[in-house]
Amino acid sequence: MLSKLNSNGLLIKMRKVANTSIKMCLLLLLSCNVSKALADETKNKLQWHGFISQGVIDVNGSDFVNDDGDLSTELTEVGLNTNYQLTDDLRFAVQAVYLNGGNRFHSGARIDYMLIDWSVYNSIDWQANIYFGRFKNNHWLYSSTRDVPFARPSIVLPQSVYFDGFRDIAVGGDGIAFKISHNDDAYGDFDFNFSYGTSPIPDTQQKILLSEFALGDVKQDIDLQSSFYWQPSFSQWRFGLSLLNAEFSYSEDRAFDNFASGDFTFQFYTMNALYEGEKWEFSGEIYQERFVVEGFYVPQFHADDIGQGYYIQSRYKMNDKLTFLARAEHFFLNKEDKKGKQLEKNTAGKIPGYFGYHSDATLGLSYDFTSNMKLRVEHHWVRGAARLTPIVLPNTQLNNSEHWQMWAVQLMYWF
Amino acid sequence: MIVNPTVQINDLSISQLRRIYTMRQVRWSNNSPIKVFVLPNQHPQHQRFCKETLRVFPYQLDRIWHKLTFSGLGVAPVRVKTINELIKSVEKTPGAIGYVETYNMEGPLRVIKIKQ
Repeated sequence: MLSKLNSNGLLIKMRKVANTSIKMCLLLLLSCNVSKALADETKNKLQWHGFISQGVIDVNGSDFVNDDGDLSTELTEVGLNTNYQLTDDLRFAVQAVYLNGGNRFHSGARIDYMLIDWSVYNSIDWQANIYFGRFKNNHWLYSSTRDVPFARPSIVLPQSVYFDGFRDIAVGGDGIAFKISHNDDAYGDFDFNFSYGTSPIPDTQQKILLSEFALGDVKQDIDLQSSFYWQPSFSQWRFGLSLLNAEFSYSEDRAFDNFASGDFTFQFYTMNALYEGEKWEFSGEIYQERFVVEGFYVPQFHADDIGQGYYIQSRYKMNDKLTFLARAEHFFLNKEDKKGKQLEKNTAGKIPGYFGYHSDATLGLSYDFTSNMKLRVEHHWVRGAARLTPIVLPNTQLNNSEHWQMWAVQLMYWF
Repeated sequence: MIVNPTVQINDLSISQLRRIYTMRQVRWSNNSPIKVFVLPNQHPQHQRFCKETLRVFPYQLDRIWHKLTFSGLGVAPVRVKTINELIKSVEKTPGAIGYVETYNMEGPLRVIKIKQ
């Protein structure tokens, strides 16, 4: 009797345990499904991408990368970005990069962009987006991907447009930008970009621009840019133009300074074209810049110079993996003084005439091992020192040669 | 072309398809978001789709997608490794579009014709 009662009780207990287990399993399965659905939804909204690259670079005859002229490993670019769709119309995007280019620009980690993208209007033919926060310069041919090694055409970009000495200022800005795109079956694709903001200028960037002898502070007061691109319908050509107006001010150190307070205005107008054929790709940018200096050297100083330049570039795709590059560029700091004779005369011979121009002939190749790994090799033959730093007080001791050369090899991986 | 069953269209023109793959059209006509899935750049089916259907070269799309992905300007298509993964991704993602050269018509996805 007792054993029967015990066994009945045991059965009841077992049933209860079984029921509870089934319920728990069902709950677990349900929660698994819910969390899988949530994970799928998050996966759809969240994206991660990144890149890592390392190279060696050797410069003979200038301080472009380092002062001693030795073979350098200061060619590192690492980036990681994420992108999250907050709602159908709002998106958050951020990218952090670590860069080391030796003397070329300020080395270290920085937030490359961090923005909210508001999709204001969307239809089959029109798209309008407003970007708030830190955005990339999207106005020139390669400006938005100048630090992304596999997304630019060469290891070192044409310095006349993509001058590394201006990198931190030209790369983007903190403020507001917008983009309007229109598609038309008959006339093609149109893009209009506008941006308004300023860039922080780190101490290292200030030294690169103004030399270590400028003890005060430089800040950017305004940076206004716009650009327009047009690709005719089903055409392999794309055309663009861009306008930039930037203003800076320098406040001298009140205790002691080698320079006076002053204002700088920089205006930059470009036109570009890009042709993308099956084997051949051609691109080029032609531009004019205006650089106005008030004060700085001495309180009453005034200079208003117009510089000009261009580059043309061709790439030949031998097959899916191997691509050759050839490029020529010319730049004159002052279009009225293309040989720099006036520059030399004005500085009583302290600054040689070749600091007034910059020409570069480049040959290179790239090899794609996979869809995510590439190797680049290139050689530059350069004439002139107008794109060497510091700018306002050139280093004539290290850069005592009109002709200099550079070669570089870079391996890159991205995901 | 294959699309998720939530996509209520029957055909697409080449220029519409180019807009979708160059991310110049990011919403369907009912305003729901388009989710684009692609194979790796060097995958033979991706190469054929670019050249023969879209009539663009794969490196042109790469330039556009890299720019969007690494400048914060927008979102590029999602890359998957295999054709099976592509089909499964389109199956479970509302608003999704992808390409396959052969597909079992009795499968859950809708097959869209390209208007020449």
